[in-house]
Amino acid sequence: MYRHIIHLHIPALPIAAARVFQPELRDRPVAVAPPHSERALVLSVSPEARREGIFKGMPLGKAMKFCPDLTVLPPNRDLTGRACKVLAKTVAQYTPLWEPSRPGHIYLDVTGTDRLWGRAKETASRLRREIKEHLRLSGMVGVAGNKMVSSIASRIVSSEEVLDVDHGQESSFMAPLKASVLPGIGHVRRKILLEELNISLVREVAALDMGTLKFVFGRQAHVIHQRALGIDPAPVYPPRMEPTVAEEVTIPQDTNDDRKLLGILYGLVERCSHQLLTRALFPRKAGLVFRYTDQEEIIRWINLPHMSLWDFDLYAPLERIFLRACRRRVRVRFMKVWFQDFSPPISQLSLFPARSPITEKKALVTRALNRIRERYGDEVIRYGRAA
Amino acid sequence: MNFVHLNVHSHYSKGWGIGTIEELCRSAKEQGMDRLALTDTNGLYGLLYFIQTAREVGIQPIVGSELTADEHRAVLLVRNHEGYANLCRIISDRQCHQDFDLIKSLRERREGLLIFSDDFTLLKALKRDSKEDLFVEMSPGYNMAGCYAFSRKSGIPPLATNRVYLIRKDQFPLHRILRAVALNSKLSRLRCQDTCREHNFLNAPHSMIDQFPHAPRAILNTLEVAERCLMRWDFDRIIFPSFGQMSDTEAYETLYRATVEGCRRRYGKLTREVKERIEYEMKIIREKNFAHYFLVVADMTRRTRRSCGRGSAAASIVSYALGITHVDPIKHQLFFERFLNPGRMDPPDIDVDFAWDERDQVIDYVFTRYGNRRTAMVANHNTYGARSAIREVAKVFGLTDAEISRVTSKIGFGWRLKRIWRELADHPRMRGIEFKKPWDDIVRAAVQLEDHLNHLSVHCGGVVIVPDEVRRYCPVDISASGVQVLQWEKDSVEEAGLVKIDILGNRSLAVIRDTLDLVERNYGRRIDYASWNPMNDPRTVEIFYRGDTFGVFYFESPATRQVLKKVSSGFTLEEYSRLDHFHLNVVVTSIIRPASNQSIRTWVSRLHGQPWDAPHPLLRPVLEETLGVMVFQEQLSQAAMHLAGFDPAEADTLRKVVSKKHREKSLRDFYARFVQGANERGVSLEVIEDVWQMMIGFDGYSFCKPHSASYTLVAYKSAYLRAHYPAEFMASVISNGGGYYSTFGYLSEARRMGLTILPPDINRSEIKYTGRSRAIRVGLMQVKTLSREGREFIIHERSKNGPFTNFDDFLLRVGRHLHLQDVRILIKAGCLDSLACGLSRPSLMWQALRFFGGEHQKEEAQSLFSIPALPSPLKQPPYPRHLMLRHELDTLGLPLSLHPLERYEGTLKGLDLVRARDLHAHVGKQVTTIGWLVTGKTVHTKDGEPMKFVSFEDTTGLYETVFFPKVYNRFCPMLNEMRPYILKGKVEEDFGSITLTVSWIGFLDRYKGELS
Repeated sequence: MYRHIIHLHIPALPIAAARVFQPELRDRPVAVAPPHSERALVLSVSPEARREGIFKGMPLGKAMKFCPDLTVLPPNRDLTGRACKVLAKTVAQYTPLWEPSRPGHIYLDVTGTDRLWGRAKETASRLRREIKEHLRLSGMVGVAGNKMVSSIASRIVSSEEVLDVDHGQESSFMAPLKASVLPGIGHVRRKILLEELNISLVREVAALDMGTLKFVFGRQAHVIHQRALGIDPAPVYPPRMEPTVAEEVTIPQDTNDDRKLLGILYGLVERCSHQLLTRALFPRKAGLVFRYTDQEEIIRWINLPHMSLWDFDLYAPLERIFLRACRRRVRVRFMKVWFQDFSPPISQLSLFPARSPITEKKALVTRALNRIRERYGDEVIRYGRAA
Repeated sequence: MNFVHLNVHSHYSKGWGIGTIEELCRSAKEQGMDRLALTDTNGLYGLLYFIQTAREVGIQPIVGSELTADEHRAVLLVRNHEGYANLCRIISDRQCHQDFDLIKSLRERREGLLIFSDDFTLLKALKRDSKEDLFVEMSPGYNMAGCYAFSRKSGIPPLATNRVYLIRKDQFPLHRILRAVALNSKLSRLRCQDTCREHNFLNAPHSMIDQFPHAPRAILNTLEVAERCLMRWDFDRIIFPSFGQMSDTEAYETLYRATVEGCRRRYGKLTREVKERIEYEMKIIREKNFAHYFLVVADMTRRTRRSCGRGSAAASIVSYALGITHVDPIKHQLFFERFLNPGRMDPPDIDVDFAWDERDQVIDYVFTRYGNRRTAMVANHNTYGARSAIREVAKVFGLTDAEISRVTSKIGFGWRLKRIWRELADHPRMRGIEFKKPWDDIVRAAVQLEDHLNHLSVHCGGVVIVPDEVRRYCPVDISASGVQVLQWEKDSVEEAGLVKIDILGNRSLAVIRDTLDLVERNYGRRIDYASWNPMNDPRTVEIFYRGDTFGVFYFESPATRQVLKKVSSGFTLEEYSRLDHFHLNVVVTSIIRPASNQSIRTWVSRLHGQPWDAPHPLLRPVLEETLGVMVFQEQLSQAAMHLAGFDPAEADTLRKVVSKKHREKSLRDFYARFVQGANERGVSLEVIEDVWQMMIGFDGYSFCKPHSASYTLVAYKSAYLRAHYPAEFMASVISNGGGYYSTFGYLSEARRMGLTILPPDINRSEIKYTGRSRAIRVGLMQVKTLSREGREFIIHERSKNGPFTNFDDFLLRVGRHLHLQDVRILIKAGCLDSLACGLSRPSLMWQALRFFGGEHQKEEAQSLFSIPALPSPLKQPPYPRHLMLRHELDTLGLPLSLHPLERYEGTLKGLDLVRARDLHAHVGKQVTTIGWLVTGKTVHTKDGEPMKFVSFEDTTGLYETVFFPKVYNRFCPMLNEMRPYILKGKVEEDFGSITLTVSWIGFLDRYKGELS
């Protein structure tokens, strides 16, 4: 059975999402980059900025010199994350087999959905329209028999159309394209090599014999040759959902004071612990995410030394990774604590007391506090700590 | 009972101390103290300031240092001169040796030192030798009871201190900030042991006494210790280097002989005037015992073929005779007293320029000749300025770089926070910036940190050589580059009587050297640098006449070239040649400096006939040579001597005060003395006031005439080479990194000079640029990404086995030593085109890829005794034009085969453009031009507003533009070097010099047929 793969591509998703909420950014050159340094690299570029010669990966200082009118947005992971979630929700209506490869790129395997949605090209048109009307995001859609060709099709199609590459036409579709569209040649060095060797089109790559290809691509030669012929057997992987218990906070006033930050961290741990207790989940892995004022985000995680759902057992490992990870002096704006990789509750009772009397007392206090929180809200009671 | 603070730290205890030396001394005096110690950690960085300030304030200075090493610490106070030398040696060892052992060092060198500590291990070890001059330090908050118990048990007497790091208690938060800055940490992460205690401030004596009711002996001992310390510090001696272990008389006689011989060589016959000048100078040199110094400097200058003695030393015939300087002081009437005079108490200063790439060798030679024992470099004390203070404090408060830069980028050059911090938030430049919390705390802390020691660096060329052991006089540190460096900066070095020799780097001397080498290689003509005098060469004079001084030392900046054009406007070349053009150019070198550049127009007008008169007849001889304008440093001293009867030494001090070298001296005293002296000579009060204002206005950076003359002579030599050997000269300029302009700018100038630029070639290019006849060959140095090893191997292989015959030959000969990456770069840069034998660059690329891909290695293994056959090349079409240009830009870093503006010729059709060469015909008119930015200089108006002078070039020539503040404010973000521009503005002329006053600027690569 022939496969039907749709690739949906929202160009510069962080900027497209920002434009939904800030219409004044439309038709202006916009880039996303961490704002703390001129050397920071541009992460996303709007088509208007690209026309000014700015590209992804360019140092921000250089980009500003090239385009003094450039509007620079700090990375807003919350917004991008929200946009990804909404997109995912939309595409999930069409097929259970969809793969978010990276923000703004989604593959849909619609093989066998003809009776439900019609032909793959019609499905793709409907999807593009729905995203445009409901989410106000302009997407480009390519349809083909495999992921690579559908992705390339979505890249070269104009925003108002859907490009469908018929079965058996993959090789002739690829032949006149620039060699740089081939995955695996995206690496700058390879691109330069092809340029220097005067190979500019896919058909020139496809025409090379395997011996010559090996000079250029080494062990990748065979794969590259397959790709040049439009062959890509990779399946569409559905997203993995992992249960997580997480709490986060955006700090009302950014601070670099460790005492305040640790207080916030403890608060988050307590709230997570409450959830873990309620759901009887024993995490094996804990993680911490915090974001500095300049939007630099730090993510750290550890395997917990002892499986426990009690806050008093969880404080120490998280405090340790926080103090080790929070090395910069810049103030912190956002903090998130998460727990994953849960083991089922232990059903076998122990012959001996499982917890020491002190731990038992602590557990009692935690339970009491949780009862108060459930009744009056999370913020009504907290631990205090002596300096 | 009384108490003396014996453990006191200033801001020279880097990252710990808060108070400046002046604040400490004044605070001590206000609290009624008559003695105060300064014991900065591991250093005597502020010793000279401390002694001076203490004297001024009226307290007696006690000198010492706190030594810390590993787990041990001790405070050392100087009891006598031997103790001082020992202290310097111990500190030096601490700073220079990683395995420094404090206890061992103190046991070996405690003579003349008083030692106190709370380190029981150290005290026990020292007690084994002697208990004399040894004390147990008792400080509140630092295990005081334990220390007292140890004192009673061991019998070592106690000594009370307060470990002063602050002047007042309220400075503790600032101390914490400073500690966080030093530790690259934040306030909340500082541990208790990271900071001092809150009470470690300069407490009043009675408060200290109150804290020691149980140990009155500890208090009394502070008085006894203070009594025994050395308090009479006298630095009124000059420590000269000693030359070749000669006695003073031998050195003098050697110098005298060398001078006479040198003068014979320079002048031929010794005239009466020359003899008298020699005698006069030698008399002063003998009186001051300067002979060793001259011999040492002369010995250094003999190390290289070219040097240029600069500064006031060029006024000395002895320097001239020894070859230290090359300007005839008699012919050019150079004022010797600016260099040496009988009343001058500070050491003379001979600065010598060497070729920039030979400077390190000269410094190495000095260290080798005189040894590390006798030689050290001078330090710079880098202090916090307004920007760095705000930046560092703001980082502690957690602000981001962007938040900090928003404020610091608006802080102007030379701003002083101490003066403006209250109005900072309301300053017009800070418009749009919200100074919300914590900015008020940041600014308040930054104000207090301003002028505090930030870090030590090495002075660019100052070397001190002493006759015996440098570590006797001043402690030394080891710099990051491994050089031994004194803990004092140049002013302290001078105050302490150590003679500094400045060994400075000069690119133009290297340019002259390389050009002369090329001339000798190309034409067999050898020019002797020392005796070479191109002053009257007509083609050299023409260079200055036309202002064609691109590449000429010191005269190549747009501003200087404009002044040259103004000077020569209205004169024919013959008339100009008959003028004393050398003198005129000597004036130009100094008048362009900040102290006098406002007077350029006045001077040029007078030069062209505007009448002038000196403010007073007594000043006429002083100002005559510069037409009534004060241009040279010594004119200020001479004015004071002529008008107010100052003696040479006094007048020289006034010059230093005005040029802010001696800030502590008050100008008011000199004013009174000046008024009195001038009054006595019958000068009216009005004239006195006018002249005084003229002198005070001469407060920026300027040159003395001997220095200007020295530089002008080097410039004439450069100009001679430019005129006679342009290809060799421009090649050498570029090879030595140029001066004011980029390589691209020099290559454009070379093209304007009618020279051909030849691309880099594997068989013809050297590493450096080379020139011959009317062509410049780009050197392999320009192939920026080519590895250094690769570049050197190619040259080595070529010189050993001859030129490469074809590409196969090249690959076989260098393939094992070069990477594929290097060969790719060479192909893209076009270096291998001459070996291509009709093959295109992509074909070469394929062949190289196959060669490095392993085919040849396999074949090589099979045929040990034959040259392996390389694979036959694939026929490939050549790269498209745009790709070749991009490769050129990538590999060479500049467009070589065409001017970047040529790419836009097509798009400019129909636009009424004026080319650079035609601007003079449009004076007073609004014009549109195109240009590639060559260089620019931002300056500030009197109101502090920034404006910019920018040089642009098009395919026909170079032209100067000015962006006045309003226009600059609008367009400054666009002024980026790597883009073509389109400009609109008015052409203006001033004394023949053409400038475009810009009113609008846009990017030419965005031009779509319409101008805004």
